Amino acid sequence: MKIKLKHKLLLSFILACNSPAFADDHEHEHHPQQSAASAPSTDSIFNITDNWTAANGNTFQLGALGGKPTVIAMVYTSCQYVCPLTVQNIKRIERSLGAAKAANVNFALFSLDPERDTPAKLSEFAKLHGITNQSWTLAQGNASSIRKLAVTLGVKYKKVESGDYEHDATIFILDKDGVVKYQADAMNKNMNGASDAVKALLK
Amino acid sequence: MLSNKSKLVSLLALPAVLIYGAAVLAEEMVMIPQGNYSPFFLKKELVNNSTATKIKIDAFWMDAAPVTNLQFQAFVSQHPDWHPTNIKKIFSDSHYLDHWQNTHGTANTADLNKANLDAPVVNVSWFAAAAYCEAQDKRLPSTDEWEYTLNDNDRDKENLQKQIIRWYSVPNRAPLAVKSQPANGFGIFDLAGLIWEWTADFNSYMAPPDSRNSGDKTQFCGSGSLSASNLDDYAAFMRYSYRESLKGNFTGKNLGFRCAKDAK
Amino acid sequence: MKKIPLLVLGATLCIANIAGAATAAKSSSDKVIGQETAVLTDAPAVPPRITRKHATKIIVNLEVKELEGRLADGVTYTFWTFGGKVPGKFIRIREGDDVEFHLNNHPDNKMPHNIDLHAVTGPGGGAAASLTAPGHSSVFSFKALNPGLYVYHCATAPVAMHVANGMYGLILVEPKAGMAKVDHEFYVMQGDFYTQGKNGEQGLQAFSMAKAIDEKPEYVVFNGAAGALTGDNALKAKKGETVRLFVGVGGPNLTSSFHVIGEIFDKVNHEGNTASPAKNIQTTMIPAGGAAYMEFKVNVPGTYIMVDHSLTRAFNKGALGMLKVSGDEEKTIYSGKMTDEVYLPEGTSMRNAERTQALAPTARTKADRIKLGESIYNNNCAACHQTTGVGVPQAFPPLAKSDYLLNGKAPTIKAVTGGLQGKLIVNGNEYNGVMPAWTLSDEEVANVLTYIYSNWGNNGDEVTPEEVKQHRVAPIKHVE
Repeated sequence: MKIKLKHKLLLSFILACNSPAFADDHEHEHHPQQSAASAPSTDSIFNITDNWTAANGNTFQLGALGGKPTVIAMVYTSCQYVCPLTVQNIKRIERSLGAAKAANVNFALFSLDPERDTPAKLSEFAKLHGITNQSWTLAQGNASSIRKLAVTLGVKYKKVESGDYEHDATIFILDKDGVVKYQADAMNKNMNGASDAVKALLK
Repeated sequence: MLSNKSKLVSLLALPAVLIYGAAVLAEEMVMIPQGNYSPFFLKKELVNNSTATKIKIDAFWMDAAPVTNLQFQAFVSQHPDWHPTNIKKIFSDSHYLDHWQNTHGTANTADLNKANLDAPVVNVSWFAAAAYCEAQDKRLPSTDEWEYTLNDNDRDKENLQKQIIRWYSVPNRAPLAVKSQPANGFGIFDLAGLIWEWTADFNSYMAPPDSRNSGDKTQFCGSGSLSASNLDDYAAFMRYSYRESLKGNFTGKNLGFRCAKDAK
Repeated sequence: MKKIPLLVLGATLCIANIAGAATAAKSSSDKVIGQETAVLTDAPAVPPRITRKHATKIIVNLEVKELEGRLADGVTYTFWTFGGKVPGKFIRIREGDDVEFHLNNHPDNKMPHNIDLHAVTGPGGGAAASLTAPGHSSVFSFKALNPGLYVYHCATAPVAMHVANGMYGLILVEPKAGMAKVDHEFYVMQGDFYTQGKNGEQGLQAFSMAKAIDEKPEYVVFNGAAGALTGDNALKAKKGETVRLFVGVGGPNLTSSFHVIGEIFDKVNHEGNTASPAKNIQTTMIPAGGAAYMEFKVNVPGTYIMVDHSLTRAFNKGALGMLKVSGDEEKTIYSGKMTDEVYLPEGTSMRNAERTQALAPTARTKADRIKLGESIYNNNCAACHQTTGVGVPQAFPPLAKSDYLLNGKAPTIKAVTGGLQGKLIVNGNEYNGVMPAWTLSDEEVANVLTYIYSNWGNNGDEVTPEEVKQHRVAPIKHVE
């Protein structure tokens, strides 16, 4: 075990210094830093290994959401209309599950606006919307991580001159392995479909 | 699992690999000077306002030519995650690198038909393209940067339009080697007439997929609907429609990419 | 006692009636039963009539293919097609069907495409849900709420270009009651094509956006090419059969004035509506993005030309097709040409006879004159005075041994060039007729008079052109 770890460190060191890494016929994958047991399934968003910063300042990767179904959307705090509506709808889903079930679900908001949505700003936003319990995660990432997550989920967005963002309004339901199972139009008041999808994943 | 002996061999081999890798991977980049250009899609209010239509593009480095099969192959051999047998479904559809004959084991340059090595790599998804650029310490160009480079400061607008339309009108053929046609005024090759190209923010065109609607104001965060700045530029319509039909894990027989890099 | 059985009978009948009505209502219900894959056809063929009496789930697989094909003789064009041909496949479903639509974009294509079916009630007619990149497929569902004949087309920007390149077709939603059987059903679709080169310029032609915006097509054709429905490709039927034409207009711009030369449409279902056909229509207007279907019986054999009656489109740009009807002649309805006669307008008996001969060659001797004069006489004078010069009693005076001719050359020259009318005594007989003036040259008059003088016992004088010129008069006016 020790030898293996040493070599892992050596490899990491080499990787850190230079782009190319030598191929090894015995290995098929470079394992990411986390010591998690199984690799994510082939259509899981947990395959993305970018780092995010939560409102409380902790860093995490998407895989940290594993083990529970997740209700996820991409929003930003300075958004006037669509985003508050999206948050309301996710809360609707949360309420429809009841407290016991909701405790076994993640509710995650990823910000489209890395410059203005600092962890402090995200905390403030959480308080404003009453979404401070353990189940909620609000996250900030760098521009390329945001683009990668958006492309993966299929969210279209564009920064405009004012610093605001034009974006799709969609709520996604992931299963405990990070695979997208359901999508709902975040502008629609009826969240029954999304709610049922979550309930099905909790069975 | 590696013995001390293997470790030594690997350390000795590393410089050789580095040199080889550097030679193969080095993609000639050209500095694109800062400038102003009119994006194709503008806010409706700005369409007839001539002063407000231009946006500023900061200087940046652009690959002179699209990434070739040879270059991408070197990347795949060093990043097995991106080998067709290992690729994750979330990162690419089932046609990833279809045109490479060897689909198991290591990607060996001897397997690819010599003539194809200098052709642009196609059948790659956005994730694969982005990973390649990241591995070179580069990035994909933004749509604005790419369109600005294509626009070539209106140097030879009519002929460029003709070349673009001619390519759109002809059903697919296997692409020729890169740099077969002369470079444009910036010194960049093959922005038209060879392949479609990924951009970093291909998913930022906000009009709905049914292009006849001019855009529903409530659908997006209030900044409102966009209109085309030039209805005659139907080639641009086609490029934006094409990008809009794409998802990140899509591949295409005539879809490749090139990388860019910040100037600083 | 007898009343009770009657009452029972009545009640039974009543209940039976109600029960019967209930089951009848059930059988025409909209319940979707079963599943099938739609049969799609290339124009001019049409899928078979629907005979099922219930709604079903229909799966439609339509592939978009971009390819080079023939637009006219020696002219090719890059068509963008639904199913490999222009127009796209004909889709035939029934009112109430649930359609699962698969739009497949061939990986060799360059462009993204989608589809707007006018039969769909929903955003963009399906276009919003079906934008598809090359090498990919989109699936969406819709319920066919309304019966009718509808156009479908691609709606990806720039839309006019996608449609101008041939991305249109027809979808027929049959009404629940079905459609009457006819002997032949055909699929025709008109489109306007805008090429960089002029009509007829050879080789592969590129699309011209400028001409499309100006609505100035070089080609207006049926079924994607000039001559797609002519000659060997003509539609065929037999005398006495019934024909139904499903006709659409893809556009992108022009409306069609659809007409079949030599036929009257017994029924036209305007705009593709299934409820109320109009009767006895000559030419029907089909708008761009619209359709109509018409029925007629072919009673007389022959070739019937289908046209857009904006005629230069038919004869100069290709909007022309043929329906060939075989069979025996039907003379009671149409006889064809019966006779060919000379048309002699009604008019005065005094007339200026037309020159009946080309200018004769000049005579050099008296013998020449007589020879030339003979044919002039036979072609002009002989009709009345006879070839023997004897004339007709009480009608036309004789020239044979005629005492009139002994008065000198001047009167005869005057008679021929100016005409004669009124009372006249020749050889002792009275005549009172009209002789027309003759349009003959001096040479010709000289020749014919020389001939007359030298025949039938006359005095053998020669008349010269100079003498004719000297004595010739203008035609005298006819007096009633």
